[in-house]
Amino acid sequence: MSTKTDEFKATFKSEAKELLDELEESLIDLEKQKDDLELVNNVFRNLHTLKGSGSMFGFEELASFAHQLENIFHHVRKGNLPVTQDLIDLSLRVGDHIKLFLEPGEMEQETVREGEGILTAITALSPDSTSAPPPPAEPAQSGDTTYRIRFSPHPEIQEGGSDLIKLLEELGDLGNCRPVAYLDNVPPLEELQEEHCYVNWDILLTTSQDIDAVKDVFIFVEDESDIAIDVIDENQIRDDIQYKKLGHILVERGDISAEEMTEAVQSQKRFGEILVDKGLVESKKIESALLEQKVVRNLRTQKLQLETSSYIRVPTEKLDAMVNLVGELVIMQSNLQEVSSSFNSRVLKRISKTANLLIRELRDKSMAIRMTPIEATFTKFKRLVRDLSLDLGKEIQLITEGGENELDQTIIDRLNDPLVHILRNCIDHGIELPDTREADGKNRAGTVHVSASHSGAHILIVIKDDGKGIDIEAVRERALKNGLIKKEDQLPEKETLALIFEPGFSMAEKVTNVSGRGVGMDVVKKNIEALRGSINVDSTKGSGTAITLKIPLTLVIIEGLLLRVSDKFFIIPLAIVKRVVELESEQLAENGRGYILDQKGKPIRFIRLSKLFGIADSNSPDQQIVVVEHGGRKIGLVVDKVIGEHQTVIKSLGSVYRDIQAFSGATIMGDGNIALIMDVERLIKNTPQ
Amino acid sequence: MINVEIKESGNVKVVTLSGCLTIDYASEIKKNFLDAISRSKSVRVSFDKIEEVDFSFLQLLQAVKISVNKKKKNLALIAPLPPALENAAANLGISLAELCPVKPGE
Repeated sequence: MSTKTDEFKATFKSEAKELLDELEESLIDLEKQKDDLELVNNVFRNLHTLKGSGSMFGFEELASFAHQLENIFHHVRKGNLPVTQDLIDLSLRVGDHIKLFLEPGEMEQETVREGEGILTAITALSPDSTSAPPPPAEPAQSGDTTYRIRFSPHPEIQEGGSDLIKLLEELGDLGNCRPVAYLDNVPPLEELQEEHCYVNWDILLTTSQDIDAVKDVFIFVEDESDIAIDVIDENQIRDDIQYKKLGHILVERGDISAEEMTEAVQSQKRFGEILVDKGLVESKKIESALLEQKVVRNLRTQKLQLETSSYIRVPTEKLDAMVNLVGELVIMQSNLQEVSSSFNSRVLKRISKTANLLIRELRDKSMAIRMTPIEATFTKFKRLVRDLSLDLGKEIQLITEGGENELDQTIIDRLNDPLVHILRNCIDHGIELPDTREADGKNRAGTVHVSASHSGAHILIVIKDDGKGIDIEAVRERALKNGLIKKEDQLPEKETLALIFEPGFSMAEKVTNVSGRGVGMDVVKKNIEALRGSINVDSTKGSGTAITLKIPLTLVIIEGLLLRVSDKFFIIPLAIVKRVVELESEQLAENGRGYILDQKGKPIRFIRLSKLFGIADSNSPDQQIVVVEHGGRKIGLVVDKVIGEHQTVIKSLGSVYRDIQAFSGATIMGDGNIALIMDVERLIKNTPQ
Repeated sequence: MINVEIKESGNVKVVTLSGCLTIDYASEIKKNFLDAISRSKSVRVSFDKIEEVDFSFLQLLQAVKISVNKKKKNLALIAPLPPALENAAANLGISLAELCPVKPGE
């Protein structure tokens, strides 16, 4: 039982974090558009759901905080309170505090006191918390519609945190509302379960709003109650004042059954029969009309079922376990392929080929499940940019693009810290103060542009600002001062800029809360490289800086090219392979290096992997050169044999080998042997021109 | 917070409620009413500094009335009734007059 409860709590935490992110986004947008009622409603809905779900899953304090702020926004919706900067700031504080309830462990005393302070501030902002009397009934206007609403809450409705008075008040906000409560099912006090609801209502509502506005009032309780909303009078001005007959009203309300009414009027024929008897319509047309009713009703039911079952929430651990198994399946398939090639059996070869196709498809689909749009990460930046702008007295506009591009969830999680650090640097070091920008002929507000786009098997994330750019000379001086370069070193501009990624380098004159400790960009680079990605910086003094991250889409399975050097096997990513050529012996210089010419006649240096890795050279006459490219540079790798494409399940080398830079992992081949996965990008970077 | 005070005056138990008459305190209110009903023929309910009233209290009051009627005892509310109670009842479509007789306070 406790495992189930833990699972529910974990699910709630995951949903609550999403709700809090949405809440934050709505508040930041509301800060800029304080009259936007849609945003106010979004905030209210998020708080309402947090309150209800929090209470249901035992997060009582969280629910209480959400409830307090929900009350405030209830008054905002009613027009009793305006949206002010104080309210926005307070609401963001509430959101931050609520997040703490989702963390494991006890809250520290200081945090508890902070929470009390927040509650005091909410109370100070709130009008009288007792419910107001219902508004006096207004005379109906032409064009008003009267609805009959039968509201039968389930007994456990209050466990979800639903406030029935607020619900009916909200209904009253729409127009003239006349509820009648039925108390017949309330038991004697000895039997009463005080948290249950034993009451149901018939409500007549006359309003100018359409039925969707009425349904919206019940949106958060529709799963915990039975609700029937019927239009009973569409227009108050009529020539004919006749209304439905008693029997119909009672049947519509469910107070008597249709059968009981039928029994009472058993001499009457069916409506359709009456029409046929009168010769007004053929029976076939009656059948056709009835069929139309049935078909449309069925279609609507199916559509509703589809919509409610579109998404399913799955814990990340289950996905990881599935992807692991798929990885093992890929290795097993490689084994099968190996075995089938050594048997002269057409049947076995066919089975192996079919298995290969199916497993590839399974691999692609399981990878796709793990892929998540990077939009959620971009959305969190809004809050960061807002808070930092306020702290530093800067005006900054954040533009994001390409949020729909998807990445493996693990990569997204690990990208968060580096991206936040880069953004902080942009804002702290890059964007100038408004007066400075204005004096330089720029807009007072700086722009930070974050974009994501696909590039083959990678995603490119670019963070660009229109700030003051990086002063190359200042970088050189700082690097000299920190002993990173010598006076006589004449580095090209690109390499000078790259010094900002060296440990201990910082351009900040002083350490601030935002940045300046010099332990940032080198860690960013390390984190990106740990993801088998790369980071690049471009900058123009006075105009701005662009930092580009190139990250693989997934860390788990890649399409590789399997190579053999003597009796050792290596994998390189297929995405960086340009071509394979035969090695002619005269091309090889004594030091194991040489050159070939590419199609444009440009020389490409190549190196022997046997020499590089200290493997005894086989001196095979059929050696090949694999030309690879990265970052605009090409090199050739001399191998004994290019075996072929290989679905590579990447296994970590483990912490013992984490400092070995030549390899990013290993894989298990079909015959059980290990092939090391080369970090070719690093090799290209480290190979002299 | 809730405060429940029970005083006896002859055969009448006066239950004075203060604070929040909400679902969080429904259990405590119920216990006190059960005690009051079991030990006297007449129960009066008075109110002092009521901050909030929700649906659960009105439903509980109906349950008190049913128990009192079953045991052939008396129940009444003592005026003045707090605005929070009257507003809650009106919003919920519950007639306080039908729910429980109201007697003037002393």
